[in-house]
Amino acid sequence: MLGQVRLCYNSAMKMFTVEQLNGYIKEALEGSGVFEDLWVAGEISDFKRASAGHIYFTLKDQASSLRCVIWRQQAARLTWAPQPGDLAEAHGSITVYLGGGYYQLRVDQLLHGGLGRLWAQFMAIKERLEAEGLFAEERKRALPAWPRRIGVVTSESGAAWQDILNVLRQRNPLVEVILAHSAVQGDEAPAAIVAALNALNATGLCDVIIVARGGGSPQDLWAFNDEAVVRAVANSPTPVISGVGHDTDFTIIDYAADYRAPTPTAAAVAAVPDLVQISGRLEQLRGMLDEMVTRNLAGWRELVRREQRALAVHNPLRRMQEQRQQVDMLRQRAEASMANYLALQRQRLQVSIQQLRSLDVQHVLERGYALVYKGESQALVTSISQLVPPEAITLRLADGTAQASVTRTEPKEP
Amino acid sequence: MKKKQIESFEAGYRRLESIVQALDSSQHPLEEMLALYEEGIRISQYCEAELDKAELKVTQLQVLPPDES
Repeated sequence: MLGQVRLCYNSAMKMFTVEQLNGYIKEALEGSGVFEDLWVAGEISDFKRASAGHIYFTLKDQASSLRCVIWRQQAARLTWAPQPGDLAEAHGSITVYLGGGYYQLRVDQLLHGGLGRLWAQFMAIKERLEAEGLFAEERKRALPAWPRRIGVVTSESGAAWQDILNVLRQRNPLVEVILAHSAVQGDEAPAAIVAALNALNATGLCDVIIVARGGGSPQDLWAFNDEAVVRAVANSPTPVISGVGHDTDFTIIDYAADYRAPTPTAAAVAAVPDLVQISGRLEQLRGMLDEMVTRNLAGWRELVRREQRALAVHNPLRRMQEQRQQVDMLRQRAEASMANYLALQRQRLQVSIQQLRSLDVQHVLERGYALVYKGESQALVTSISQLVPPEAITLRLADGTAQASVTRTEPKEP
Repeated sequence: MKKKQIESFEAGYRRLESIVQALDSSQHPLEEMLALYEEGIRISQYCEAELDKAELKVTQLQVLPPDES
């Protein structure tokens, strides 16, 4: 809990000087941050005002005492004159006075009055009821998620009541509010609060009850520390939300209530679900509804399509179409092979024509042969027996004709 | 399908939640699904209308003075 302070011996002597040790203690206490910004209650004694203006005194209770100092500046702001025997509440931080070797509370605020006594009472009541088990966690009930009627115990003229109404109006106007007016401070307040709480419970109408009061001094809020009030809250058949004072105020009903809200406003917030949120959720649900039905329908549609596809396989029309297709295919194949055949024949013909062409007379002439015609006629001479010298003939070569005369014929030896 | 009376905003809201959940969880017979959908739409309209007309009702209880009660 305390700050980490490393102790270092004086190297020569292997021991501390008094100043060193107290310095470490000061560092540990003040550096820890633990003993700061705290309230302590007790009875004032040994009250001294020094000539410089500082005030020194001791706060004590039956068992112990605490030195306190108020520095001049704070002392000047003191609005009352503390007397030995006064009960007081001091606020400040613990410091260590090296010169005296003791720690003290440096007080920046000193409250007078029965507050110290009140505080003691507060602790006494709280401890007693706690020991009875009145604040036990297992006694706490869950607040209803959807209260229809909200009971409120507070003053009809207080700001708390308006705060609560405002929150409920904004947050959940579906609920009904039943106010049981009660004094919330003063001597009559505790009995009034108990009566109001009991009256609300007696109606049997409320789903949850808010016990609330706006901020105020500890004395103002004191009714909510009253034992009878605390017991009534703890024993309420209807779950109770406490919303007393400001955030930092704690009253004993806060421990007894099923739910402790820091303020009346927060109590109202805790009491009801937020309709703005619910409205959003409604919209979301509506959207989901559409989406799911669409999806669901799509599911059915897909099923139907699947069946349709399955049916189509067995459709006679489709069969016929398939057969027709097959016929078409066969025909195409036949046509294709016919075309192939024709092409092949055409190719062969080409080859034959080529061969024929090579037999053409002109080609023969080009190789050096000549045709022989009788005289200038077209009669082709194919045998020497047709020729009787002197016979005029025409020689036809590849590139023209020549006139010649046959002077002698000689048959080929057989 | 007979139209059920919606008891309250809360009941309606809860029913709507359960309808959406039911639709989400499984494939329903078509007619059943459409009936659920129709009911859901009707409830959501009811809830919205309730929200629209909601006005905080405030009553004050007469508390007898403690010493007389």
